[in-house]
Amino acid sequence: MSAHRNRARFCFVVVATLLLVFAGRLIQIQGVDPNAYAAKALAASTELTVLHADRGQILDRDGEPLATSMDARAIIADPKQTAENAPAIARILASELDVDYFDAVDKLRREDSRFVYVAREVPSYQADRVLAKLSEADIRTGVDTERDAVRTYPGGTLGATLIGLVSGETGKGTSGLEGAFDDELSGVDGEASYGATVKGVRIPLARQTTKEPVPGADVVTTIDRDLQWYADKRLAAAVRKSRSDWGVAVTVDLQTMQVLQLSQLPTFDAQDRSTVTPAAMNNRAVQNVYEPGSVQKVVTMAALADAGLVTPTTRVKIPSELTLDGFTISDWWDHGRLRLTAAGVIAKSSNLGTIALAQQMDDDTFHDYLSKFGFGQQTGVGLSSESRGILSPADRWSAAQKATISFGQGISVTALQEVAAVAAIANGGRYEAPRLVTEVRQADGTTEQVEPAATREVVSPEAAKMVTTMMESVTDPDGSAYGVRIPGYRIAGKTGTAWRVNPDTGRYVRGENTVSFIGFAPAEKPRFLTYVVLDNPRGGGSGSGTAGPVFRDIMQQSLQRYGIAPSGARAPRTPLEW
Amino acid sequence: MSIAHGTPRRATGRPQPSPRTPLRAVPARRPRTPRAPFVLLVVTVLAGGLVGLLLLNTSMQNGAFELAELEKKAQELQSRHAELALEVEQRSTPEAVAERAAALGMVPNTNPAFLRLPDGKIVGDPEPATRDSEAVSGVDGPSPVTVGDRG
Repeated sequence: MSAHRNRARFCFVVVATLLLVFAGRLIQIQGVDPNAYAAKALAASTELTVLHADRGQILDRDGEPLATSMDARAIIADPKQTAENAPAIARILASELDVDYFDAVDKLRREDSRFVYVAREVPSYQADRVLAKLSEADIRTGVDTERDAVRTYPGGTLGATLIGLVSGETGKGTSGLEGAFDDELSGVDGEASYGATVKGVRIPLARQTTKEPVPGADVVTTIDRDLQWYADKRLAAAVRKSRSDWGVAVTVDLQTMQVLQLSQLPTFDAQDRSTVTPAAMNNRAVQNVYEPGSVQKVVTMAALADAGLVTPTTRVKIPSELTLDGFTISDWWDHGRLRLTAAGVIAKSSNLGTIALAQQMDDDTFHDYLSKFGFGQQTGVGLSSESRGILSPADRWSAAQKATISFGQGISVTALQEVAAVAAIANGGRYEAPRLVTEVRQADGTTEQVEPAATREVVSPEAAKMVTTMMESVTDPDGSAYGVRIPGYRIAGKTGTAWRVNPDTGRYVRGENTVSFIGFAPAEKPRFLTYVVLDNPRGGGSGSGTAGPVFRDIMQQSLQRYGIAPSGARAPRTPLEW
Repeated sequence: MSIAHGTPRRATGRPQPSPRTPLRAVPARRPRTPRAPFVLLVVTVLAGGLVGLLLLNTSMQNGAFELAELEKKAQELQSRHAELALEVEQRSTPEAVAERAAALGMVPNTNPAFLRLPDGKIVGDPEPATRDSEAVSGVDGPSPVTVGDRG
């Protein structure tokens, strides 16, 4: 009898103790710090993968891709598993991909590592093919792929410097538009987690959470891909022929101030990293400053015309040379005393005539005009490292410097500044900064318009008209650039042949020039402006002979592409001499 | 006599038979539910559940396999799409188009005529394009990566 009871009591104690232990543990787990344990358990059985966000595209004005992202893979290997079959694997890799056989064998046999990249940025279809071949040969063990997005630039060299590059390591844009719009282009990475066994094998139907990546936005530029390609090729031919150090060609649509093409040489092939050099990455249209030379005379004339100091027929007496502050200034051709009109000064590009006219304006007023035309300030076109150019304050001008500034020496500009200034003249005296980007298209379909900058009146419409008339006489039979006319169209233009400053010594070098041509058409109703600059052509070169033909060909293409019919009208004949 | 016919006397000395319980109709004996069907039912339910679970599991596994298969297929098709898209992109660049046009013997026309619709006038001096003007087509000539001071 008592034996029974003792057994029952004993069992009760055992069970009660056990339950007590369980209860205690339960309280500990659930009551004391439930989250830490839950998190620990989850972490042990959860695999986390980063879902990379696709980088947005850079598009041209018609939506054609300039830069786009392609799904690609990296081929990775675990040398511990691949060492044995390294030669066989490497043979397949070398035959299918752009991989060096010996290099691959080395990687597949590396001793101190369990993870190597054998090939990167392999298009997915190629990677799939490689894996299929490896499986076929039964040597797939230890080889796998991993997502490795690759940026492609279908145009290769097309606008390459402007479009820029993305760093292979960080995936961040480093130059050009890729760099300037990196925040918009790169999206937000997401992540996926799923239940997995301790060995990392995914448990089917186990809990999984996904944070979808947010793809980057597309940036719509103002670039016309076809025109850009043509300008690149045309400018390249000229740079080669003249053996120049660098060249820039810009075309803007004057109605909207959108940049249709921005060709900058030297450049690189965005599909071939070996062609990328520091010089080729330089966005010269905004980063390079140079002295513009005679092209600047039209800005001087616009200022003078606005102040009522000059009309196209204003008569100027021009000496054979002029000495200011001990500097002797002459014209590019030898002449005795000349009698030119203001139009003649522009048409023949007389330095002395420009100085004579500019003397009527005081330094401060002249400086103000130059500032209003945007010199000494960034255009704000949106590219990084934009230079402000060099416009020294008026109170530091010597008599000689004021004189030289009037014909474009002693002032340094960027090509885009010059474009904006002369565009203001073409647009009836209204300044508007040029634009490169019109729209940012988010992945969810919303678009963000990039508003054009505010415009300002720099000179009166009458003054602008007068300068346009003067510029038309440049392409007159008696003008300095008769060769750049396009049959049927009225062209207003200006040549520039500037002495070139050696960037190292800061001094002019005899025989070294920066030659340029700026012009717009049709002169009676301006639609396009094109500016061509070639730096340091061997043999000196000239604005009309070296840069002029490039201007003519690009302008002709632009007029044709946008269906601007020739008016057939004749330019008004303005007397050049008196 | 009234005594003799009166109520029975008590304690007569001999035991009296206890009063009989009144007779009642015995309820008809309910036939006992046979055990077999119940067991069968339970077994069937269990078996059914087991088989159902098995089927569910199998179908889930099948679903997983199908999912994997389809995912793989989607991946392949995506790769194929990327491959073709790349090809289209490469073939539609200005350079590629210009080269093919040139190969077909096409030359750019630098002097086109324009038809003005309102008055039907022909504007411009049309000139037939010649091979000489090919110089401005951009097809030949140096590649932009080969020119300038490349530093």
